Amino acid sequence: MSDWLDLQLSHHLAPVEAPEALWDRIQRSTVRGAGPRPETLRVGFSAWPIAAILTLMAAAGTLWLVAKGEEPALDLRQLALEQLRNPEAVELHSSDPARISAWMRRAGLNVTLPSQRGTLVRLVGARLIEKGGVRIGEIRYTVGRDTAALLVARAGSGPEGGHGHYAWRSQGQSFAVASSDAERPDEPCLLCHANL
Amino acid sequence: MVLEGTERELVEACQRGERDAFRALFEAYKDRVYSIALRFSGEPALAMDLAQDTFLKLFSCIREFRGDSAFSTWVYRLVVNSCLDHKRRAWRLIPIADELFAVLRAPGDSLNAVLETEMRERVRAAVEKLSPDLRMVTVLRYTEGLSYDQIAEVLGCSKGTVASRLNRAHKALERRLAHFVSTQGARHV
Repeated sequence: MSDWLDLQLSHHLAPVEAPEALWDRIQRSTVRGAGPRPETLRVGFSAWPIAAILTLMAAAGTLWLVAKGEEPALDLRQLALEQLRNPEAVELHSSDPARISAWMRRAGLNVTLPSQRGTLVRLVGARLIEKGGVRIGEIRYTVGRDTAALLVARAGSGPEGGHGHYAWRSQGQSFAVASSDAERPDEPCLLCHANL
Repeated sequence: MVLEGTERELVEACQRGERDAFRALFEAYKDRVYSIALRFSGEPALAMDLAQDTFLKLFSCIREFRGDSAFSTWVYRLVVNSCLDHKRRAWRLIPIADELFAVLRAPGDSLNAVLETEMRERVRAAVEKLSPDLRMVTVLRYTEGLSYDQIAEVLGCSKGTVASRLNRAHKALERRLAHFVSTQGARHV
């Protein structure tokens, strides 16, 4: 390489001072991003009869399906939220997407995870859940300070669905994502959509 | 952790969520982060966005830092990824201005000032036209003065790859800047 080029590059690409405004911008984003968490929903006394009726209706529906010999549809999204409310230890501790995918594949579940380098997502690990005779894989990860879960199970005989917001079906499998922060339900999507 | 005394304490304080420590860490790295973002993007406004993005990632993920590498390497990786993830690529050309040659005939200090400004723009435009991979090794080498080994660690590639990318970058830059230098009679600005 020519000396003149070395000289020019060293001179014109020299480090510079960051503008003072940078810290203010970061602070503003941090304050906006870390807003107060929503208070836990307080259910008043008057709501209890409604909740009881809804529970009874759900139970009756399930019994009716069982009587017809059909499995009730597995609500993966609901299950994902439950897993985050009462998390159990993961069986595989790993932040390696390839290792987690391979582990899930051995359980008969096909999940391809992209590299998380340079994103807010950090993989924690994976575990298997048995629910109503169905094997469900849970991939747990964090997005910033929040915990998130991706659940995957072999789909039933229903039609292939499009990509719903938090639950979808693809290639014979059902998927659902959930976040521990109810105020940021899109956050778990960063696992596969880094540019959201 | 691969950290020197004060920096280790600072990182640990950040990991505990101490607000003052975040500010101190920002002060320690702001110029390095912003310089890479600016030299890579070539635009101050975009560099601010990239630097902001880098620090937000740094603050939100600092608890994940386990000290497997030097903390500075970890920070460099964050800013490199912010830059490379940014899809927008500027391909602005700096036209050869006829006025420039008129000004080149101006005497003394004003001539030097014009040449300095013009050369800076030429270098910036030439670097901007490099592919992101070549541009990043150039910026890490010349803005941060990192060694081939350090660049390889930051980019997660071999030292040979770094050498090859720098060699290609040098050739491309030489091609693009040689004309301007010969116009000036190989005068260094």
